[in-house]
Amino acid sequence: MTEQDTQINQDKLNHNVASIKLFLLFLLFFLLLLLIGGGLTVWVDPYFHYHKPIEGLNYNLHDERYQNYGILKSFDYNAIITGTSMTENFKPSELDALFGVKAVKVPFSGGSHLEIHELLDYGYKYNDDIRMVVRSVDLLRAFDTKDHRDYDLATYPTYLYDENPFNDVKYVFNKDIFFQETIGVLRRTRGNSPVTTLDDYANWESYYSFGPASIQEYYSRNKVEPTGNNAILEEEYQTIFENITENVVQVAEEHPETEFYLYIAPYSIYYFDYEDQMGQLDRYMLAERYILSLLVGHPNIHVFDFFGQYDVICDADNYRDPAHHSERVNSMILQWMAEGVGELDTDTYEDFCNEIWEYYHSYDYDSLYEADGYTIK
Amino acid sequence: MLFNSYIFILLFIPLCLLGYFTLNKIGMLWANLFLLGMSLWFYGYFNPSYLLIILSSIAVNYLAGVLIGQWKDTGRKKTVLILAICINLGLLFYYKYMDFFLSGVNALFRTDIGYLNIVLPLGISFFTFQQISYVVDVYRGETTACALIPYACYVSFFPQLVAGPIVSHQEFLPDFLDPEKRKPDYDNLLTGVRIFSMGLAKKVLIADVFGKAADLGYDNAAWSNSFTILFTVLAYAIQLYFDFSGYSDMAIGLGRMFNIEIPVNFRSPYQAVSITDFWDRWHITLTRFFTRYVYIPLGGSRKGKARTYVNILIVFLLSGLWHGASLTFVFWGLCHGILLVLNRMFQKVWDKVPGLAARAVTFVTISLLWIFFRSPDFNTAFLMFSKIFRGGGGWLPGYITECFAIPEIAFLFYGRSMDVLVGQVLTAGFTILALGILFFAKNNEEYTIKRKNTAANAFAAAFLLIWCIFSFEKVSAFLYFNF
Repeated sequence: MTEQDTQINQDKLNHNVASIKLFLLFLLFFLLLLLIGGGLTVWVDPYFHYHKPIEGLNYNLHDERYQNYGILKSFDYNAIITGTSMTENFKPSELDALFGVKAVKVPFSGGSHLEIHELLDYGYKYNDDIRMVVRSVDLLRAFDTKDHRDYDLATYPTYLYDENPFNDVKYVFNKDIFFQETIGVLRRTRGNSPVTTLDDYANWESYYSFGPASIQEYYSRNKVEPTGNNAILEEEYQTIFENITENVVQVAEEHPETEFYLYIAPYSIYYFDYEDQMGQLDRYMLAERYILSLLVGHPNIHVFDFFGQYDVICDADNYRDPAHHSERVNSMILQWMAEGVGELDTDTYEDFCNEIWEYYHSYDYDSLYEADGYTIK
Repeated sequence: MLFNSYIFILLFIPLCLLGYFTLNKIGMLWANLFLLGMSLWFYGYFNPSYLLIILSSIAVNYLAGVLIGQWKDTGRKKTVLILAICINLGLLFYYKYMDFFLSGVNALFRTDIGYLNIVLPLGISFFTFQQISYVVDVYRGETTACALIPYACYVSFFPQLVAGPIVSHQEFLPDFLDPEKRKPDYDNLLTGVRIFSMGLAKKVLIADVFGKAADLGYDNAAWSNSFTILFTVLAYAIQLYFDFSGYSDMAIGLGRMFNIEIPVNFRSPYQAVSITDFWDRWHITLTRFFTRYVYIPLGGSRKGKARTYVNILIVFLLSGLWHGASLTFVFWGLCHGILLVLNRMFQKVWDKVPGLAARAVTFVTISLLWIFFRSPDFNTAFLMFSKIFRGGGGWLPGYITECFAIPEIAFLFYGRSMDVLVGQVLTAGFTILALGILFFAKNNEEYTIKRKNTAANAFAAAFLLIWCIFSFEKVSAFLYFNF
């Protein structure tokens, strides 16, 4: 081998070593950035997937489908408030005071019975000391199938709902979460932003106005086209049966140690007007009766129906639309539950149903539009 | 599997490179089998049943290559060749064009034959053409039939499998079979990573953002003003280039990591000064395929002007059909064919147009023709054209500008509301940046390969890669305050 060959080989070797070093440098940069970016989200954990909130950090509780599972997994609690948007204005602190529990609120706006059932199942996986569950049962969900969801499952962050560590990459390496949530928590902490409590979480009270004008923004009689469908078919009874037994009753039966406080969410009188205009008032009230029949008679289920609270229901100032009531009503509901008001059992529910049937079938709905200068629309 | 996915970047690629180069120390066959297995995993990730299609296709074409290579009798060779081409095109026809064909039959004969609604197997257009070229080249004696496993590796090589470039066997196999290239070359590895990360950024950080705006623009075309429609057309032109060329860049980068040179597929096509020039720069390997296996066999430009023009039109009709099974694609191809013919006819006149003006006219023409490419039907395309010429300006609607309010920007605007003006400025900024890259920047390969690997480049590639990985998943917005 000539001296020149040796020199060429040496140059090649040097080049190779330099290339290896550069490639290793790339790997180092890559892993370092991955670790810093991902590690920060794991440490802050804005969705509580790994741990409970870190003391001193100011978390923003605001995204139900991203945070509810983490709340049930990581928070300290022994009572749960859950349900649809009808439960968003509850204040867990009030439940704590009334029942001597430590509650969390995990509502799903637009939540179906299935979604809430899955959420509760998840909670039981991580907490074996759940003493109480307050849950709404919405009449507007009456005819959903047991598999119903309002949204396409593909849009759900299901990677937060399981124990598969591999799909957590979608959480940990996600710039939407990194910038908006992880960095957001740090910025909130530094900026001394107001702390979101579980009472504030998902509460929409301050975003809306209440009263007849507000209700009529969402509901106009002249836009209603009657369905002419006022009966319940046999297969629809079967649908209700499956949905209620599998998604509502079953979880209570599986957990006799927990007291379930289930209530039919009290919509306003405008809701009944709507059903009346649609020509399906019988249909929904029959569904309600059937649902109640499926709920009563279980030792750990307390069934409440507040459609008998006529003063509240007929007062438009309690509502922002035909269904959604103000937080004042949520507070009343908890109080009623504590006092046993509106509670039904196998002996009383039929009489109650007969009573409200009579009331809502004989109500002068036109009068709703004559008061306060509001005309019939 | 997609290039722009967590599993591909964080698991598949490291595993694949590590396994391939390690097994090469034991024996090339093991490495080949491993690579084949990985490519099939990549291909069958979403739908394993399609593995059967690609494997059958590989088997048939391999067999055809062997038979043609062995036999001396030209007649028998030709029979096998024709049979192989028919099988390839038949497969493509069945999976890609059957419903299009049935819709034509229904329209022509007023019948009501039900559609098959077949989901198009990934990459079928690419691997079919690739294999046709192989069988034809064996028949022509331009190459010899190779062994089964390397052949299967060539067809299924994952970097180019689902979105091209259409790599020829002459380009792939010599590199692939070279024992010297079976060792990791760290220079190539890092250059490959750099090209890949640039391609990924083109796709994820640019194309997807403009793509969202273009989709919304098309969805809301019926009630949009001219300005919004023009922006939509522009957004789609930007999306298409960055998306498609981004994929090609990623393929080239991946190939380089394996020491395999994959040909350049896009050479700054929007910098073209004529339609002819555009097709020399856009999807180069497809144009090459059509030139070699359709245009030249038809006579190319050797049989007089008229025949040349007819040949060009045939090639572009086929090209349109290759891009999609719909009359809008065929029409798009036809328009390009006609413009190419006109370009040839008036070449001398066109050459006198100043460069910048020629470039601008070419870009506008191509962008307008993309309307037929993007529209699901002629009604939508005509709606878009009519809206362009109907006039009407005003701000871009919020649903368009919001596409550009990416989290990085929201991060910078923390605590401040992004009003209408900010949205417009942001959109304009993004668009000017993208157009600047399109019109004035060098091609990715040119830019990346010619710059040596340095610590700064390595950091830039790592940063870009991380930025893209963090952009794969979005947070969904659920319509709250509703039942």
